[in-house]
Formats: sequence, C-alpha cells, structure tokens
Amino acid sequence: MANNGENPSPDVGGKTVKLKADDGEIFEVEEAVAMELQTVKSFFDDDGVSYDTVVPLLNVSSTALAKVIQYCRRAVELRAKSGDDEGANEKAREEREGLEAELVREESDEGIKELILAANYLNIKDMLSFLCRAVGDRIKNKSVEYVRRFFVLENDFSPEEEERTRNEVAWAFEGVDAD
Amino acid sequence: MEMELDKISNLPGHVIDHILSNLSIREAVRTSVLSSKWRYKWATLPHLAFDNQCFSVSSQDHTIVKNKLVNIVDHVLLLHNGPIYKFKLSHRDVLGIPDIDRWILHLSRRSIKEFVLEIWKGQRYKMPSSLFSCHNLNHLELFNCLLKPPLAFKGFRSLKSLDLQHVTLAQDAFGSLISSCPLLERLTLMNFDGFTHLNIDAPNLQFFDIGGSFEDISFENTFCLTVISIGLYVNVGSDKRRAYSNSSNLLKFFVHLPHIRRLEVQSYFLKYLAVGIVPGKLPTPCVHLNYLSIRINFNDVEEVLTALCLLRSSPNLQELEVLARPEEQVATVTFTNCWEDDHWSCPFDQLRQVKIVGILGIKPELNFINFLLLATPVLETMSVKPASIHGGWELLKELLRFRRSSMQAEIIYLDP
Repeated sequence: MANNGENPSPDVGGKTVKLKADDGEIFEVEEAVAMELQTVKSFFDDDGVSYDTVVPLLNVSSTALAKVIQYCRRAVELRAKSGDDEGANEKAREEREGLEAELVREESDEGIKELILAANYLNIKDMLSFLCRAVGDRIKNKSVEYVRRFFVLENDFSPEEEERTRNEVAWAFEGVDAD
Repeated sequence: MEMELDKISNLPGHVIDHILSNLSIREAVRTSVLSSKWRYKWATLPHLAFDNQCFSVSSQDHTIVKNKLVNIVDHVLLLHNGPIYKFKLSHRDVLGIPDIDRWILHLSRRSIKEFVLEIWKGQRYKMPSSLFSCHNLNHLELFNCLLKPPLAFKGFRSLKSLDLQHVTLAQDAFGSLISSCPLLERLTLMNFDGFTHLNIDAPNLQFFDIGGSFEDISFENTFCLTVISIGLYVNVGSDKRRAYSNSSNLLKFFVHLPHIRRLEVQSYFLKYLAVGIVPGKLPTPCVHLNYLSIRINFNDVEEVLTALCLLRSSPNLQELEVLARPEEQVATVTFTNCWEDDHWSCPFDQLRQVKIVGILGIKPELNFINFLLLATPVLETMSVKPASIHGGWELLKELLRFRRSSMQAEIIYLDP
C-alpha cells in the first residue's frame, strides 16, 4: 500500500475508505473526508457496495488526488470549527480562504487545470468553485495569446473574421494594453 | 503527449462557464476572439453585472461615460443568448435614465431571477411596470427607486429576498407587496418614505432588517422570524406615550415572535417599545433569544424599565451589547435603582459576552453594570467603552469595586 509523506495513514478508530488513482496508487482516507468527493459518495450509496471496496478513480492522477485529499481534510476540519458563533465562523472562513490561496499559489497552469478536472470528476463543489475563481484571476487582464495558450486553443479565425469579431465587441478592448 | 494535451485542453463546458462567470462582463466578452468555438461562449452566461469596475473610460465627462455604458448594455443584451438569471446595474454615472425601462422590459422576457439596481444620485427612479411582470424573481434589490405597482399586480410568488433602500412606496402598496410574496425569507428596508405603518405579514420570513422613520410596526404569522434588527430614526414624542397608556407596544411587538434568536434594538426603537404598559416580564419568555443589542438612554426611566423587562424575559441570552444613546440630560430624576433586587431572581446562565459602549459613568449606568456582574455566573468578558475620556477615571474606579459572580470574568476597559 503506497503512502507518500503528505498523506499519513489515519490512526483513528473511524471507518476509512480506499481510493485508487490512475497509476494504481492507493490512498486510505477517513470516511468523512472521502464523502466530500460526491463521486465517491455515490459509489457507496449503491446498495450492496461494502466500504472495503477500493474505489477506482481512473481519471485522477495520484498527484492531483493527494492534493484533493489534503484540501478536503482541512475543509472538513474547518467546517467542524464553525457553528452558530459569528466570530468562529469568520475565523474559519478566513482560514479556508488562506487554504485555498495556498493551494493555487504554487500551481502551474497545467497543475490548476489538472486539479479542476479532478475536482470536476470527483464532484467536489466547493473545490471546483474556488479553482474556477483562481483561473479567472489568472486570465484576467492577460493578452488573447496568453489565454489561448492556457486553454490550448487554436486560433481558427481568418484574419478578416478575427477583425470582425473584435469590432463586434470593440468596447471590451478599449483601454487594454496591446497583446 | 498529444493525448495528454487533449485531456487537459478539454475542460468541460460547464467548467468553462464557471470560469467565465467569475470574470467581469468585459473580460468575459473578450474571450470571443479566442477561437470560433469561443465566439459566443460568453453570450450564454446567465449572470450580467454592469458596475464601476466593468469598464474604464478615459473621459471625465459624465454624459460621454453614460452614453458609452448605455451602448455597452444594449450591445451585450442584444448579443446575449439564453436566459438571464442575474442582472445588476450599479454605476455612478448611470442615473435615472429612461434606457433602464427598456432593459427591464427585456429582462422580464428572459426569466430574470435576481435583479439589482442602484441609482447612485438624483431623484428616485420610477420603476417601470414591466418589473412587476418578472414572475420568476427571487431576489430584488433597489436603491433610490420609486415603486408604484400596477393595480393588476398579484405579487412576486417566488420572491425570497427583498432589499429596498432609499425607496418611495405608498402605504397600501407596501402592505400588499409584503403579503403577496408568500415565500419571502429576507426583508431589508432602509430609509424609506411613503409608508409609516408596518404590518409584516410574512409566514416564511427569517431575517428582518429595517432602519427608518415609521409610526408603528407589527408582525403577523411570523413564526419563522429569527433575526431582527430595527432602527427607528425618529424620536418618539412624549405626547404619544401618554396617549397610548392602555396598550403596550412591547407586548404587541413580541406576540408573534416566538422564535426570535437575534435582536437589535437601534436608534430610538427602545423608546417606541417603552410606549404604553411595560410589564415586569413578558408573558412568554424569549427562550431562543441568544443575542441582544439595545441602544438605550439610561436617563429615561421608561426605557430602562423596558430594557429590564426584555432582559428578564431572555433567560438564554449568550451575548449582550448595550449602546448608550447620548441625549440631553433629563433634569436629575432620582429614581430607585431598579436593577437592585433583581440579580438573584433571574441569573443569566448562558450570558458570556457583554459589551457596553458610549456610557458617561452616571449612576443608572453604573447600577446596570453592577447588576449584570452579579447576575452572570458564567460571564467571560465584559468590555466597557465610555463616550469620552471625561470621567473615565471615575468610571474605572467604580468598575474595579464591583463584585462579580463569575470567577472567569474579565472586564476590559476600552479607550474612547
């Protein structure tokens, strides 16, 4: 059973769930954390599926899965801290925002996209939300070429078409630095 | 390698929509030149917001800026494809222009669910009748507008949240608006005119925040209402008080609020509650009330008695905030310390945090603090912030002497 340094085996008495990444690496996580991944939750919602079954996550790399688990673990902890008390809620929210910023700060564009695909496949609403926000921040005020590279898009406009498209929304390009 | 590229570039459609929805309208529209597939991706975004950030114009001339923005909104609405669920217009140079009527008409045909309009300056903008045909509205937020619903208006059947600030609305129109929105959960009213009698008939209302001038307020069927903040900006005349000596504003207020959890009594509202009979205790205690904030004039006996009644009726209070209202000193009325005999009969078993702000250090205030310290066995913090440094030392000296029933209580003196 593989176990990288950032993912210590839980020694709690609670149930754990095994998740298998696309390269076969297996991650053992606490049930509460695993259930943050709606895809995993649905997997077990089916009748007759025992919690011992290893959940195959064929579309998620082990690097991405490790980060997802790390985020979900912290998110579950923070949620437990907040409650009716406004002060505690505020603090928990700040901590969560710090956690999110930390996660995206170090990531390359490719890394973020990989995380987005993982969060999408695993159906983790909050994570997908802040990742999309982070991407929005990254492409804001960037040149058209930069954004094309980010989304790996080929410019299939003819020069004339491109000009017409630009003119259609000329106001959006005013006051912007040249590409 | 190519397969990998494919995998990463193919972000699913809804994810791209999610990313685009985090961009300003201007940024989103720029994606139309990325590739032919992206030309109109932005055009199906269901949320549109036009505000000060959405574009920068080099001109200082308000008319030029306004004309540009009108152009842009027209442009975007025309190119847009599909339902528009959220629309916000809040720009300092877009005042009450007739183009707004056209846009609201358009939105009423596109299943609008959330509509926010802020007219920064100038006259109240009269909302067009097409606003009242937006049957899918679940959130409506207006700033500096005038509302005159047409006679045929039957209410917003899906409206859950209503936020009206600096609005004009006739008395009967207000009453029927509230009662014809059966799903209403949140209601905010600030600085309104045209109506002064507030009868809130809202079976699903949970949150109510109001600040303005009104004559009376009452609730009906509000069994879900848990968070209330009321600020009465106009002083209740003393003649009024004598006239209503047979009724009780306080009793009337609480009769339909069994589940109240957070209550803020701001500005002169405590004076309003003090009108009429003030019992020693409410007939039914507010067992769910765990946060209370009151603005009070400690020199006013009736306000003090009203506050006392409120406190006696809130056995489960966890947090209390008391803000002193500085009014002209009433001719010294020596009245008995009404707090004295009470500390043993109604201890606050849950009260942990107390905040006292703006006091002068006069006797009634000190008596109150003394009472609280004795009646709060689990008190953790009491912070006291006087109105000014005058008398600060005297206040401190008194505070030091007070006995406390809670061993963990910290009294924190904050500089004014």
